[in-house]
Amino acid sequence: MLKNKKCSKGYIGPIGDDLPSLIPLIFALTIFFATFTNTMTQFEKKNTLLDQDLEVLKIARVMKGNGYYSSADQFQKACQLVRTNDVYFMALITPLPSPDEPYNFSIFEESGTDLVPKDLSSSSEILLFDDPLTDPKPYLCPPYEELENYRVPFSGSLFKEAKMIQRNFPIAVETENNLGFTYVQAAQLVVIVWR
Amino acid sequence: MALKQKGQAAVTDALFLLVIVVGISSLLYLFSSNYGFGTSAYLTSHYESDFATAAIKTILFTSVPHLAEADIKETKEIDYLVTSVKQSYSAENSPTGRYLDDETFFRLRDRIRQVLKPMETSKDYLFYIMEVDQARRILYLYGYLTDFSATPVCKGERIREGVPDATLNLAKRTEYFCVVKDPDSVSRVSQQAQGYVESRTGTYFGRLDAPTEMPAIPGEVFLSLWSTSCVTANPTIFMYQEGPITTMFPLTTDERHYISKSLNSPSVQTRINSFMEANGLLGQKQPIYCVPISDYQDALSTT
Repeated sequence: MLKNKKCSKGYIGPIGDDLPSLIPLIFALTIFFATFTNTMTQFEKKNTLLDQDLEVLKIARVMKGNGYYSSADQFQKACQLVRTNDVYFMALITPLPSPDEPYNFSIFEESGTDLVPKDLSSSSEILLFDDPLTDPKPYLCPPYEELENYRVPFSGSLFKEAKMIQRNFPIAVETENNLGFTYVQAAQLVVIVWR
Repeated sequence: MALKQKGQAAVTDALFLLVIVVGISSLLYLFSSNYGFGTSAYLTSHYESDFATAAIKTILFTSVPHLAEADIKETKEIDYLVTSVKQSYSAENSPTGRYLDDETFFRLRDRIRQVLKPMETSKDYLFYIMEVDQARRILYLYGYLTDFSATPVCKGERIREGVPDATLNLAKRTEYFCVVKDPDSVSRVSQQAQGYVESRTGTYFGRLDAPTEMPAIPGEVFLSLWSTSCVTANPTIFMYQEGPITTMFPLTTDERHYISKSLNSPSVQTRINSFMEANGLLGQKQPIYCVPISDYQDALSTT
């Protein structure tokens, strides 16, 4: 007779007895999915940065060529050969300071508490020009006209969101001295990539 | 009793699952925090290698005025720097060895310093030119090095509390002209330096007394970069001249005119041997012996 009698002590029901086990179960699932989501987010972020880094090197290799430029037209031809993979880029050649001067290159300047890009069209400190006295052409890729159509991440909220990667490379550039004789100066190629 | 155990088993199973999931989540977290460092380091090394290759080309193929005192923007006589180096080499062709003159030493220094400026805040470097014939002489060895020899951190000592700034200020970044007895001394830097990258390019040097079977001597130009570290404080790899070089050994008139030759003089070699004997380093390979460039300039100004 005792076999047929159900003891109610500690027995809620077939489902009720499993209810306490739901707490650690839900806890475990929450931890797992939160960690998994966080891992995938970190994975995507790092992959994006690594892709950008790789793109910088690819673009720089095309723009560098053999490391010697004789004119801005040659630079623009190299610019047209660049093929990017879902990134925006900018390449420019900038003069190097003399050996005993400090190195302070930046395409940004302070404006109050913000950083804003320098005006490339008028700054000969950060942009090298071909034939500066007669017909100044900047070593800038893309050219000014196309740069305006770019999603330039320099203003407002876009600047704070964009992650830019910059790489500098030494490069030799031909120019003319005051007597009209050609000489080769040391400069640096700057490649900047962002999404 | 059997009914009670049934209920506990479900909770126990859930707890086991929780433990397993916490373990897996920890592994996932470790993976996500460490992911990409290896690839990022590889890409950085790739970039530095490209930089070093571009730097050597730029250094050698930029222009200098033919006359050292001329302004390149106001002169008609312009040479490539590599041409200037080769001219200096052939002009200095003497039975005691082949060196470059002091003007060429400083022209190279100016260009190297200018081109490598973007890297000099985080990297130490050596630039050297070597004959690769049987003699394997190093003609020119310029270094931009961080001297940690005065800091406790490279001696394995603990940094005293309250004086962190003093420790940092003791690490000086200095330009040096260096000499080596054994060219392999330079390659030993790569074994101990972190983030070591090297680039090289070949060239030929002409000589006035060239035999028919070897009209030109092959040479190589090297640029080595590495992350600033305690390797520059290792006395078996780097040794530094202290004090003005004119007080360390007497210079003959010929040596005063060509300071670059005097570093290879027997008196300097004797001093190196004395130092090594005093520090129990005899029998070991000779270090790279470096003189601050400011001492070079002081010595030149007294000629």
